[in-house]
Amino acid sequence: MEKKFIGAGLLSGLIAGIVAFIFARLFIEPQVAKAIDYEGGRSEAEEALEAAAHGGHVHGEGGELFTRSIQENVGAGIGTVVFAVCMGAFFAVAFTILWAYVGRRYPATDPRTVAAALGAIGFVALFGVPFFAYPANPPAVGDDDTIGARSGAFLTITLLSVAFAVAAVVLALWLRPRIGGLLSGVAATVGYLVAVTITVALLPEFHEVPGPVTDGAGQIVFPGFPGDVIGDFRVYAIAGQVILWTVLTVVFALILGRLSRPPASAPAADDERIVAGNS
Amino acid sequence: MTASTHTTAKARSLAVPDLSVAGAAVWLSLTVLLAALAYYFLGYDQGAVSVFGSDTHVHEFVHDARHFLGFPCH
Repeated sequence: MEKKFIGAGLLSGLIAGIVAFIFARLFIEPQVAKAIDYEGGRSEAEEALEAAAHGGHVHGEGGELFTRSIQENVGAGIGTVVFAVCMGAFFAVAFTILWAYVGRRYPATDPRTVAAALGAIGFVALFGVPFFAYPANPPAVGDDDTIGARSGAFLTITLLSVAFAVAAVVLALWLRPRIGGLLSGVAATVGYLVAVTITVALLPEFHEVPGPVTDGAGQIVFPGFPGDVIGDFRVYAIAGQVILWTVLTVVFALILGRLSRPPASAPAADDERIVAGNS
Repeated sequence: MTASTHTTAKARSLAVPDLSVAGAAVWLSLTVLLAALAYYFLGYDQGAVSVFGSDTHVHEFVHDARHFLGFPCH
């Protein structure tokens, strides 16, 4: 059965990744393009300032490994699909373990309810909390020198958020026979939120939106990063993940519905027909 | 016929391990391992750390996807 669940998770992830990429290509990519335009204009302005200060020095353009067209179509597509398939794989493993417990303990539970709950938990733990700690940024936002610190902090909050979510589910299932489903759910949720809030408070903060470029006299020669591009980019990034997790969960639940059908139903129907025909 | 099956059953007195549980554990662990590896290469490799030295092909290729998905990037 676990192989069927893993297959279901990978297929759900694949479909969710394709849908999420189509959304990202239409809505997020234009924001990325604006950010890259800004980055280009800004570095030109900085070079012009430098050239004026030190005399005719212009940076040579480094050769790009992949063209923008490859990055925004093929690379972004494959990257989004790989991410979604990974999420589908984690989803399938979590579902298998959770269902092995819940299905045995509470046989009346609909597995699709468990899948829906897991989808919501996965979205919050793997995307929501890391995003609220370190919001997604378009290109040009973020200092190259802090990439190591930012990656480490982002990975830390992601791993801890997932660990706390697992602990919260274990706590809820342990408390449920003692204080009831609603109260145990509330207790686990509050516990999770307290744990992630403390973690985020302890992790470093980064505020790296580029400000305006000024010349020696303090005159603004190039504006700061446009706030609406950051705002739109983040809203669409959230929407993209909502789509990804919703499609993943719904497809997984649909496959579960198919797997749950009594396997003998088709032959049984045939038998009935044969019996009816004979009589 | 009956006698022969009886003897085989007697000869194999060693307890048969339940491999279905071990098999499930292997499948689930392998899935998590491979997915975690892909997740690492997609989101983290060649940002701050790099498995294959100072190469940036993976980073550049999935650059836009990293931004979409909220991973830290330049």
